[in-house]
Amino acid sequence: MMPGERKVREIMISLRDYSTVQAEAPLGEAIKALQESLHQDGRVWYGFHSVLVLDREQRLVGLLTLRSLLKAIELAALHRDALLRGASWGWYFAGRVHRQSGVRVRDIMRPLSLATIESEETVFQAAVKMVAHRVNSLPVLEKGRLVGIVRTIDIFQLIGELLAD
Amino acid sequence: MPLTVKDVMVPIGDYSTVSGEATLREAVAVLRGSFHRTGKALYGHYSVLVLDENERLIGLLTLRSLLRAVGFRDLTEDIWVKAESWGWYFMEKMQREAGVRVRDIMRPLELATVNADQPLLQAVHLLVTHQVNSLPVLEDGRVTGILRTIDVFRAIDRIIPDL
Repeated sequence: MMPGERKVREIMISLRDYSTVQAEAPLGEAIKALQESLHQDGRVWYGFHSVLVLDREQRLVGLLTLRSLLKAIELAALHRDALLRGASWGWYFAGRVHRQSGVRVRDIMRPLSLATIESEETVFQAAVKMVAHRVNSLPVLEKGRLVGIVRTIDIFQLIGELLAD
Repeated sequence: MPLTVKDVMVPIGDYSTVSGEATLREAVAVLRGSFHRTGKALYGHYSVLVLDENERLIGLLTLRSLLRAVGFRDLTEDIWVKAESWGWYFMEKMQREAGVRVRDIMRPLELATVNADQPLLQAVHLLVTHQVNSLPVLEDGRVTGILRTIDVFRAIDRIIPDL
C-alpha cells in the first residue's frame, strides 16, 4: 500500500485522548480542558490547539480553537481595562466572559460548517482537505459519529517520512 | 505589572529555524526534529523561522504551507487523480517540489511581527486580527523569539485572573 493510502484512522488522535467539552458548558471548562494537555518538552510548552465541542449525545457540534479563545480573552481584558479606567461603555458581551456570568462554549466555538473527514479516507485526502479549507485539524467521523481528530502535524509525520532522504 | 511578549515567548534558541536557501526537504527535516510523543499524541513546532545568512529574519514557513507547497493543493482539477496510477505520479511530483527553496514558499515579513517589549495584549490583538497562530518577535530589529497562541494561552490566568 502506498504510504499516502494509509487511512486517517491510523494516524488520528482518538476522541478519548483529546480535549472535549459540552457546548452548553461555561467557557472556563474549555480552558480547563486545554490546560490539562499543557506540558513542557525541554523549555518549550506544548498542548492541544483546540477542543472538540459535543452535545449531550456526544455528537460533534463545533470546534473551539485557541485563537477563538484569544478573541474572548481580548474582549474580557478590554472590559476589565475599561472598568479600571472608569469608562462608561458597557461592552455587554465582554462583560460576560467571566465564569460567573456564563459565556458558553457555543457562543465562541466555530460551528458545524467546519470541514470534517471520514476515518476511512486516506492521509493524502486529509492533507488536500486541510490545505483547501485552510485549517490545521479535521474532526474524524465514522458512520456519522465523531471518533477523533487529525491535525497537520499527524499528516506531516507521515509525509515527512516520505520526503526524508 | 502587565505582561510583555518577552515574558511568555519562546526564545529563538529553543525554536526551529532554517535558511531561506534551504530546500523544503531540509525544512521538513528541521520541523520533524521538533516532534515528540507525549501520552497518546504527537506534539511539535507548527512553523519554522526563516533566516538569511546574517541570521536576520526574512520569513515564516508553516506546516500547512509546506503541505501546500509539496503538492497538496486541490487535486480535483488534476486529471491524474482519477487514474489508478495517480499515487506514483503524485509521489514523484512531491519529491520534485521538495527541492524548491524555502524562500520561494515562505510567508514574507510584511505579515505581522511583534516587539519583545510590547504588552502581551497587543500581541493578542495582532494574532486575532491577522488570523495567524504565531508572531516572530523582534528586539532591535533582530529576531529573538516566537510568540505562539499556546504561549499566550499558558498565561491566561495572569491575563484574566478571574476567568
